[in-house]
Amino acid sequence: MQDQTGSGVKVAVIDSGLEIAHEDLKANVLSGRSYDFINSDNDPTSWSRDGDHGTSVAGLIAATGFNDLGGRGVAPDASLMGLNWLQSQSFLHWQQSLGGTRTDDARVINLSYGLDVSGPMTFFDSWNNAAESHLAQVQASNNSGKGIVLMKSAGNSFEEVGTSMTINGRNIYAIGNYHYVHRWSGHIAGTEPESSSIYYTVISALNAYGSRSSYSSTGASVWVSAPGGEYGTSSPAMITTDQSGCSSGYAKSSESGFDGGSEENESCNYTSSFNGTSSAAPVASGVAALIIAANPDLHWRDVRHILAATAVKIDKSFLPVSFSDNGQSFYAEPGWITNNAGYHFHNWYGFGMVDATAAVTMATDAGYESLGPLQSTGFVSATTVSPVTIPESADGVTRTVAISDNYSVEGVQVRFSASHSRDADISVEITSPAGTRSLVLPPRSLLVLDQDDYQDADFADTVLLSNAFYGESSQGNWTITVRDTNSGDFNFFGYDANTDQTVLITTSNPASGTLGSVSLRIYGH
Amino acid sequence: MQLLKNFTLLSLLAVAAFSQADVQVRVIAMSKTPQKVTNDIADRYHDQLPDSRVTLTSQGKRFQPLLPSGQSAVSEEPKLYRGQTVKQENAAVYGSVSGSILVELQAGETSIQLTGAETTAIGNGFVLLTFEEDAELLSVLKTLQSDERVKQAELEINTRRYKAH
Repeated sequence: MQDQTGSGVKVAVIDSGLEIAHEDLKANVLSGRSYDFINSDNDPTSWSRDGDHGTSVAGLIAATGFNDLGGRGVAPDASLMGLNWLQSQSFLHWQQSLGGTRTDDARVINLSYGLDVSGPMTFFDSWNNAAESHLAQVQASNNSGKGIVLMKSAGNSFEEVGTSMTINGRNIYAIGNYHYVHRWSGHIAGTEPESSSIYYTVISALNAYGSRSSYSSTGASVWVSAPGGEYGTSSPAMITTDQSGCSSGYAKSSESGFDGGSEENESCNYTSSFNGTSSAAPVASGVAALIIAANPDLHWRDVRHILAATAVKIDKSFLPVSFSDNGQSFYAEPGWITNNAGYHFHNWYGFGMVDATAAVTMATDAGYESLGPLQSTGFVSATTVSPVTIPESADGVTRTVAISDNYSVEGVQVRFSASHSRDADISVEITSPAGTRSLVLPPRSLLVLDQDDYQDADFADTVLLSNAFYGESSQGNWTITVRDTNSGDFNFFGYDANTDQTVLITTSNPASGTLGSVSLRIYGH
Repeated sequence: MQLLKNFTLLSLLAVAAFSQADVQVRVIAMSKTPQKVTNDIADRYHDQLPDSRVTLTSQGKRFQPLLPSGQSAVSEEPKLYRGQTVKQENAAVYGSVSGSILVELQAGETSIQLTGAETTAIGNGFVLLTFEEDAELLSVLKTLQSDERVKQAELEINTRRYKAH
């Protein structure tokens, strides 16, 4: 791979902590650059006895190579800094961690965390507005305008989502997808505002067989996918660094096998049970570090471009997930599409699986031309703006947005408001002027907060990002189709916090929904 | 979270016919339930009632500060300080007052400063004001919301809602 090891590339791990003295990490940890937001010092080594997520994430990125210890990271010479923002979660510390004063010179930031989303969220609350403004500035000015690759995990909620709801008087702490056997995603990654921001690169997880990890959240905002493993029981998890010693960590005396300090892991300094999109994102972060090491002049969007252009199409035999309602057919997941620019895209995998060798090769190609400045159309409203009832039909309601700017598309955000007594019925599809279709909100997810006894939940200036149109022309008429896909009952599981019982929740469908405003923003160059 | 596998409906469910009620809930048995994703924070505050005189809005959610343990009302004017615990209305979600207020400035304004506050510029047109523990935040918030340079001011309620995944 042109001998690339990530040397000279600074990668920040924003997580639960980082064991800076770990035997297989310390050589790559930048002195004085990590931070503990709780104790206000430069050592974010975790005090947990049950494993430090950040230490394991860091090992996948940049565990030292060729030192006869443990394994190696994807970029074994990259430089690491760890910030335990997950212990604090204050906005001030977030700003410092994402390209602010503590990470301003990082080229890659790994974000293996996210929200449990059980109801639609607005993109435009004050905090997200401020966050977007900060990130726009960071991406335009940090590292002499080259910005930062913000690698974010998609989520582990394909089957279950954590929540805090009251349903028929029951205190529900998590909800589960009744239809998971049909491969319907419970969590659409882009429903989390950060994952529908153009500034992040969202990563889904693959198992050892090259298809979606059972837990991995999906959606049109996924950029690429990377190995994240399974649970390490019947299918492999990831091997990475763990808290040192056999008295703490994922690997410790009370465990068995490799994680119990077997002959291959007597020190318990490594674990073989790490998984999640938390594992996939750092693999992709490692690849980004290799790309930047190969060509330090690349902009953050160039790195994304290279990841997309070199990604490998996987799970080629994927069959679309469809269902019928009232005699009409709907998609829950259409599977692979090929857009008008020739890019393959899948809501589960983005452009496909990362390919480090191909990516580094492309990065070092003397003929590679940078994408140039990021352009945006701003939000352009649909030509029809009056609210309308959403019929329960495959035709749905359509809105047209006319775009005059002619950019090569990098991302498309749809902003919409809609009300329905059962948000999970609603699907949203975007069709480009070239005819490419992207199901940006698949139906029958676990957006069920509207079933709460007290809380309301509707789409109110919700923004969803699609990467499916990458490379197409922005100019022309875009169509947004909103459908109500369910005229019957809808089932999902709930987990009762008080009784520890699992309950099956069945909701009827008493009323039609209403579509309000719709607009589209296109980013490109 | 753990996988849902091998679920079996109780015989109760197997014979139950669903009516057209808005929401029906049936108990079922499963071989595995997911790990609890909420902690036991609700137990910790079980004897503290929300102060209904104060409603704070943050990130689109409404919160009320908790009264001291065992009290149902206090006579003094409500006050709010950094570190105070709040509860989301109608949900078992608890958070703390971080001590920061996010200010969105009116167009053309570039900064705002208050005595005793640390000022951090956020992007273009936003300022984060961070206060010490002795600053009474309700009065500060009121002052900011009536300042003509301020478009919007919102207290930060930190519910630690992000999870490693």
